[in-house]
Amino acid sequence: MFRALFAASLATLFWGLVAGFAYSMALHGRPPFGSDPLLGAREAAVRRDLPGALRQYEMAQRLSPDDARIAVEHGSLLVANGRFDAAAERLEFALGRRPDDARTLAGLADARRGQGRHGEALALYARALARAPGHPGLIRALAETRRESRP
Amino acid sequence: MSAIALPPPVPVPLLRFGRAFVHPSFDLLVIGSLSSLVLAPVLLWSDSSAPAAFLERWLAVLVLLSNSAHFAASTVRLYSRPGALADSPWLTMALPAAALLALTVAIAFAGTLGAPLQALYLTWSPYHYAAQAYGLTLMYAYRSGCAFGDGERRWLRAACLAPFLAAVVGGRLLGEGGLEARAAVATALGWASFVLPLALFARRGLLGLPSLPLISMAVLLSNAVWLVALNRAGVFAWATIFHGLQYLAIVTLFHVRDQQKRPGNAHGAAWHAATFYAGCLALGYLLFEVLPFAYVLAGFGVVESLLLVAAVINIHHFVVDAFIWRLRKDPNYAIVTDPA
Repeated sequence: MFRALFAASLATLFWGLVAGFAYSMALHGRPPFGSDPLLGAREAAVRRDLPGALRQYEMAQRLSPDDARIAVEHGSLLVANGRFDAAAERLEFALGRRPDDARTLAGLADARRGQGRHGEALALYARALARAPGHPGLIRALAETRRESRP
Repeated sequence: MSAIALPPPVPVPLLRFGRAFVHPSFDLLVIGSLSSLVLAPVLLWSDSSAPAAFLERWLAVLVLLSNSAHFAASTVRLYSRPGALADSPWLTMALPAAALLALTVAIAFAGTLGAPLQALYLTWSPYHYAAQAYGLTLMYAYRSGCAFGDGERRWLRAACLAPFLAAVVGGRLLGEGGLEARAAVATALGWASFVLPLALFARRGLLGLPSLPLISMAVLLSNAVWLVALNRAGVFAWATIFHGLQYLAIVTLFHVRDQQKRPGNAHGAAWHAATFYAGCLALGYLLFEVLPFAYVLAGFGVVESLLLVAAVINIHHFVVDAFIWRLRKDPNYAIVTDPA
C-alpha cells in the first residue's frame, strides 16, 4: 500500500513538474527562476486588472502578515487608483515596520496628499527627501503639495 | 608504598579547534560558520550599502545554490541510504504523499489554511536552526573528547534554544499584544544566547575539563548571531544562506563517508560529493522554482502557489531532518566517532 502511494506521489510530482515547467516557459519565455510571490500581482497591475492585483496583494499579506514590502506595493497601487484611505492604512502599517524607508514615506505622503491632509503630506515628503536627497519626483511632489496647500 | 609512578597530568589546552571532519579551517569556516561571524559586523554596523546591493543582485542564485539545495539535501540523503524504503516506509513513502496532499489542500483553501501553515513553518524554522546548532555542537564536542552530564547537556540545549525563543517571542508571529513586555523578554533571551555558550566554555576551563572545541563554540555563537542579531537587523536572508551552507557541508560529508564504505564502491570522495550536490541542486530547483507553476497552471494564484510550496517543502525538510540525524540509532553514529 505504501509503495502504491509512493508511486502515485512520484508520478503526480513528475507530471506536475513537467507541466509547471512548460507552463512557465509559455508564460515568460524562459525557464522559471527567482520568481517573486508578488510577480502575479505586479503582472495584474500592469494589465490594469486592479481587482486581480488587489486580490493577490491581500492574499500575500494574509500569508506574510509581517512583510512591510507587500504593504508598500499594495498601498502604492491603491494610491495610483485613487483609493487614498485604504492606501494610507496599508502604508501606515508599513511605516510602523520601516520607519526610515524613503519609498514608504513617499507613498504615505502621496496618500495623505490625496486625502487632502497637506500638512502631514509635506512633513512626510520632507522626511522622504532627507533619506533620498535630491530625488526629482519627491522635489516635484513637495512643490506641488505646497502649491495645493495655499488657500 | 607503591612503586608504580603515575604519569604527570597532561595539561588541558583551553583553546583547541576540535577534531575536524575535513580540515580544521573548512570545518570552522563552513560548518562552524565562522565566515558568518566575520561578515556579521559588516552587515550590522557598516554604513555601506554594498552587502544589501550584492544580496539583491545575487539573491536568487545564492538561494538556489544554498537554500534550495539544502532543503533538497535531506530528501536526497534519505533516499540515497541503502534500505531506506524498507526501513522507514512512513517517512519515505507515506510522507511525500501526505505532503503533496496537504500542499494541494492548503493552496486550494489558502484564505483559511495558508496563514496557519505559514505561521507553523516560520515558527518551526528557527527551532530547526537551534536544533541543528545543538546537534553540531555535541557532534564536534564528542569527537573532540568532551563528555557531558545530563545537567550540562541541558544547559547546552538551553544555549541553543534561547535564540529560537528570542526570535519567536520578539517577532510578530505571536501577534501585536504585549509588544513591550515581549521585547524585554526577547532582549533578555538575546543576551542569554551569547552569555550561556561563553559561561559553559568558561566553566569547563575552570573545572579543568576538556574545553568545548572552537568549532562547537562557533556553531553556538553563529546560531545566536543569526537568530538574534541578524534577525533583528532585518538581514536574516544572510543567515539562511549560511545555514544552508552549513547543512550542505555536513550532510554531504556523511553521504560521502557512507558511500565510500559501500561494498564495490569505485569512486572517490569528490565524485560522491559532486553527484550528491548535483542531485540536491536539481531537486531544489524543481521543487522551489518549477512546482509552483503546476499550481498556477491549475488556476491557483502565483502568491499562494509560491509561498505555500515553500512552506510545505520546509516543513517536509524539518520532519525528514529530525529523523535522519537520530545518530545513536543510525549508521551515522559511527561516522561521528570514526577516527578517520
